[in-house]
Amino acid sequence: MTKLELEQCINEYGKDIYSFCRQLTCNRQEADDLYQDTFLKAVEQREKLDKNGNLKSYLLGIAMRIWKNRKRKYAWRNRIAPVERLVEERDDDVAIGMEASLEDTFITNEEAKVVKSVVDKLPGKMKVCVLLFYMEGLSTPQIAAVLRIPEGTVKSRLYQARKQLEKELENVL
Amino acid sequence: MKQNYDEILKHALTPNEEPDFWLNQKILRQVREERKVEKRNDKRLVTAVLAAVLVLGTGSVTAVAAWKHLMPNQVAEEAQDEKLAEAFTSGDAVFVNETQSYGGYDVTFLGIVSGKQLSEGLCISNGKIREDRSHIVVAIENADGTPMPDTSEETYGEQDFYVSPFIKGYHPVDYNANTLAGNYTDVVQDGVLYRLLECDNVEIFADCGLYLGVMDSTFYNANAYHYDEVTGEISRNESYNGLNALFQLPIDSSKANPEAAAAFVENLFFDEGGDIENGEANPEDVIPEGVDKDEYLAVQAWMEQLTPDNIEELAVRVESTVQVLSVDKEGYLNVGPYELEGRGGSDGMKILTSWAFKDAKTGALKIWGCSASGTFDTLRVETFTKNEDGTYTFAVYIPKEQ
Repeated sequence: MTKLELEQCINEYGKDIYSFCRQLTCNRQEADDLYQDTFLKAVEQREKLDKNGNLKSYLLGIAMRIWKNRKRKYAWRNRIAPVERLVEERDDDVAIGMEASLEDTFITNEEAKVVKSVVDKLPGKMKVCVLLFYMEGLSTPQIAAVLRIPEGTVKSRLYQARKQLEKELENVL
Repeated sequence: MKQNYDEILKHALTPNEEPDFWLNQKILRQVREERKVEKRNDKRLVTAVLAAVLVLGTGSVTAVAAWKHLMPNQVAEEAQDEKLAEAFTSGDAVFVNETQSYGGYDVTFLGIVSGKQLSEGLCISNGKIREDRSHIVVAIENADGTPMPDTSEETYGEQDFYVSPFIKGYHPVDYNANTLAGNYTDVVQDGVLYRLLECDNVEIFADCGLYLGVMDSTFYNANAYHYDEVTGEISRNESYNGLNALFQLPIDSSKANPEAAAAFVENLFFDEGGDIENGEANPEDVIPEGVDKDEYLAVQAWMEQLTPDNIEELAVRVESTVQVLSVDKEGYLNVGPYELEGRGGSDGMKILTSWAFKDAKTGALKIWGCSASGTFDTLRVETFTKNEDGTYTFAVYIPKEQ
């Protein structure tokens, strides 16, 4: 990957990858680190890069694996007195407002914030499937490839997640 | 209705978070700089080969081995910790370059540096910032020359390694990288796994005698080493069929601080980040954002009063978390993952029974740990009960309605 290719890649997928990192980590600092490491790892593995394949899925796969390893590394340190991560106040309002006018917005910014917080509460594995499906627009076979799990497992996690989300959202929306 | 929720989710989750302009610039700059480093490494390799030839003449094979590896400062650079890389080039760093081969792996202890604020990373344990740390670098490679998996590969982590300092006179089951608030970063380059371990500064124990163990397990493996209760000596278990390297940590005994060491040992298992009410800790440093101080203190009080005798009265067992577990052949309990709605969960854990349950009585419940984000609705309590047939029952409790 040349510098120009990297720049193009950041321009094209930066927002998608960053949003994914942000939702996954729930923390701006960690999201910045994960985003940066994802692109650096992609450059490091440039020989493995299939330029005809789905680059976005490839980058999301790298982000997922880095995140998984990072969580595993920190898990044992906190084993005896586990430290729950601090939920950082999100500043989504401005960003969403920039996307569309209020009239065009299907749900309000406040509701979007609620939906995101409900998604955040999902068990980790379900949450990742939901983000890849709804946020990144990947199909179930693509999610299966990113997560390296059978497609049936993806479908089942999405089904369970939808059920849980519907139940939660029914109460808050 | 279902379609409706799909649309709501799609809309609410539409990617709208832009990375900072400077973050993207930082990535581009780093890639440019890394390419420069790659070129620099080539030059260093030439120097290394020349040096190796010279050392070969004197017959010191152990010293030669290290030249094929990255230097500790390079490992820190690879881990993107420039500050630590600088510390490894200072006069305080100790280079060891000793290789041991066991269980199909070659392990090279490359070096150690200790001191305050040497790293860009910040370690917070039990609500306290740990400033005074030891940073240790080891290289682990397959003895048959096959490359170790890269950290981005799926097979990375399938074979775990545990690197830990040990202190003569202190049982490694209790005093190891975990209890020293350890943390690590892995870097894989040219098929060699470099582990950068940081833990509380072990120099204060320098007059006791220090070791460094490297084993093929996730946590300390009691089968891999012997601890002599009389002399306090730690040694390799020669009959252990795996990796159990043991190095001497070469730290100048004049750096020992027996008083600090004694205080450290005394506080080790009672360090909970200070008591807010007694003014030992600043509430803002301990209480998670958005959590009410009164509720936080109530949760702390609830956890403190909790005992195996009153747990049934104060809390409810969540049946979906119950697991009946047998001890594996290495003496561990392998607890499977669980998830509790709104309270988080665990990806699973491995527990050495001889350490964790050495005094456990059959039928008696042991509280393993409490976890909360400062509120009752995030609180969960993990427990184990030893059963008559030698198995253990793991269960999570949550508080009864407050």
